Amino acid sequence: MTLRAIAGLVVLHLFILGVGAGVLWGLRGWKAWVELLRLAGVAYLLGVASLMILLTVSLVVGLPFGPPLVLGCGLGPVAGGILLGRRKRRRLPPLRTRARRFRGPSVVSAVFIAAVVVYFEAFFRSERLAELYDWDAWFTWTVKAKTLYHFAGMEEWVFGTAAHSGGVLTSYPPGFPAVQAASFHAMGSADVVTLNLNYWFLTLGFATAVAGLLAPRVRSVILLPVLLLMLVLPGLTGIPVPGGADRPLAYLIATAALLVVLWLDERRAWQLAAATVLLGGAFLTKREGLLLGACVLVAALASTWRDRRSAWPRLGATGIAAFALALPWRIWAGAQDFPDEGLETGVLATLENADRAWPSLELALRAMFGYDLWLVLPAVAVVAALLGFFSGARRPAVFTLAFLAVAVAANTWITWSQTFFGLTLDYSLNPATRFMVTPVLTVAAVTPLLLERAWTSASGERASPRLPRSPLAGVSSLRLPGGLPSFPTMGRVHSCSGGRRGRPCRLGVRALLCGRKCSPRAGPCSGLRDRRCRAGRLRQIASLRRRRSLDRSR
Amino acid sequence: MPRDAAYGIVLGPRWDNLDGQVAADFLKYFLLPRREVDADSARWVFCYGCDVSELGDGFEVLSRGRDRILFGRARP
Repeated sequence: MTLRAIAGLVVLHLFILGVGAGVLWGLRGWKAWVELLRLAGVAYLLGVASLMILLTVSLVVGLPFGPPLVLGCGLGPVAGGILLGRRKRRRLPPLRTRARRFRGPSVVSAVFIAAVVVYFEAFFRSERLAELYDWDAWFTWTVKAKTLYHFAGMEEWVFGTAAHSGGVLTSYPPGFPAVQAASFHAMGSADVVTLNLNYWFLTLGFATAVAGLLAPRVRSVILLPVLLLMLVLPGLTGIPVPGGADRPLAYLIATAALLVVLWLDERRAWQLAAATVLLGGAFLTKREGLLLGACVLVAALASTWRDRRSAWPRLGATGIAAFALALPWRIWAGAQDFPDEGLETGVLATLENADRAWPSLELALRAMFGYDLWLVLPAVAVVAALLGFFSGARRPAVFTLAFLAVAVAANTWITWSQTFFGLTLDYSLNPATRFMVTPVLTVAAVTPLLLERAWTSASGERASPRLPRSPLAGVSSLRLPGGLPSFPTMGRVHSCSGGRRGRPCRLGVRALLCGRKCSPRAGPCSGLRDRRCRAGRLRQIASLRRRRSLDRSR
Repeated sequence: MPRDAAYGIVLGPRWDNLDGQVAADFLKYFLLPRREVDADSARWVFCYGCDVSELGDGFEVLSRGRDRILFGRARP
């Protein structure tokens, strides 16, 4: 461990952040630099995923691995993002913007922020000197990283069928080892101790991604405690960090799932596009990535059952595109004729072991809800989902519950079908606990959103999801930031255009303008009557603004 | 061993099990960039409880560890 190695890693991860920022610029852009700062965690994880995808493709086609390849694979997405941004006529915000008044955090928030900072300081110290002792680490991951570093390619005796004498674990994709090998180049040597700082950067990126995505949507008094709880989960801190790929997989899947959940309500294209890149990266991190990515998509499909005509094609396209990003590797791996690595797959293998079904389910449930592993977080997530469901946040709530159910089913299937896994939570005999890292982090990332909805509903800050008779009912709760009306359930339930008789719809400006159309009692507006009612509501908005400005001036 | 060396691993009857395989795999990771080759063509050999006489007359033992683990060099 040297300062030079640490400095090299810092440079590499800043490079990855830059790559991700380029991708984010193409997908979304930003109107102020502070917005990029808020989304820096998302940008970083996009950079990790993009780099893994492109490095894997490069290795599959036989390009020699080294700093030029890493640089090229990083600059490619940046160039693509800039071109996409130009096509969408995006402009960089000015460096100097009008200074905003800085509001300091509350005392409670400050305490939790301090705790998170202390956590990362301690985590840095532990990772800086962590040994590479875990069998999985040197047997599968770091041996591949060292091979890429020393031999600049996927050597047959490590990546091929002849590797590891028993033909074990060769079919794991090279995405994460490629990032580790890039770290060796950045450090100047195959320093397997300092290498573990990568997990510190990844964890920091994940925490800032969740915080950045949720900060504008969730109050800090809800967000920060859940974030801290998520970081100190015994099931997460208990698994051997060095060398393995469980953490990167969990971070990519959980962030992708959070973006999908946000998309369920907000329907912004960039959210699904970013989730696609992250899922593609997850598919190239571990084989389980495919299964967990499928869990995310199945949960999203379940939560959009009511508007499946518009949502399912987009979610399907997301899954197909993410799979396509990992396809070169799968084609290459298929051509290698890898042994089945001891995995008993298929329906027959599962049916033959029917007696393992119930114990496997029991084990999966214990792996999901075990207090020793995840404290109260999964239980809180379930309660938050139920509260969210009855508070109007039905899609995120259904997503959470469906994702938990599908993840438990997937974990059950793994133990059920693979008879060599013991019916135990012992880390060395069954990966059930490690598999659950990703689902638990995923529901943990969504939980603050659900709690926020439940809170706002209970405290009356937002109206009930049941539509009031008039869109202007409850005018007293309207807020007018910047002059624009912000309605209690804006963006919470069905959009106005999708509103139908007897169904709730969004209570935003659009809903106000076409309130008749959305009203469960009135028929659709049309023709002259529609124009009149719109004009009338515009007058009501103007009146509201005037009244508010008068109040302010008084 | 120089960094570009090729080495072989010979497992004796007592080590011809999971422990021996794990030990061999750990060496594969630990000794990179040196690479494992077939023991017959290797200049450097790790012998885990093997019969040294099978390694040829020119085999020179460089270190002896516990549990009859040897490391040596085959003379050309």
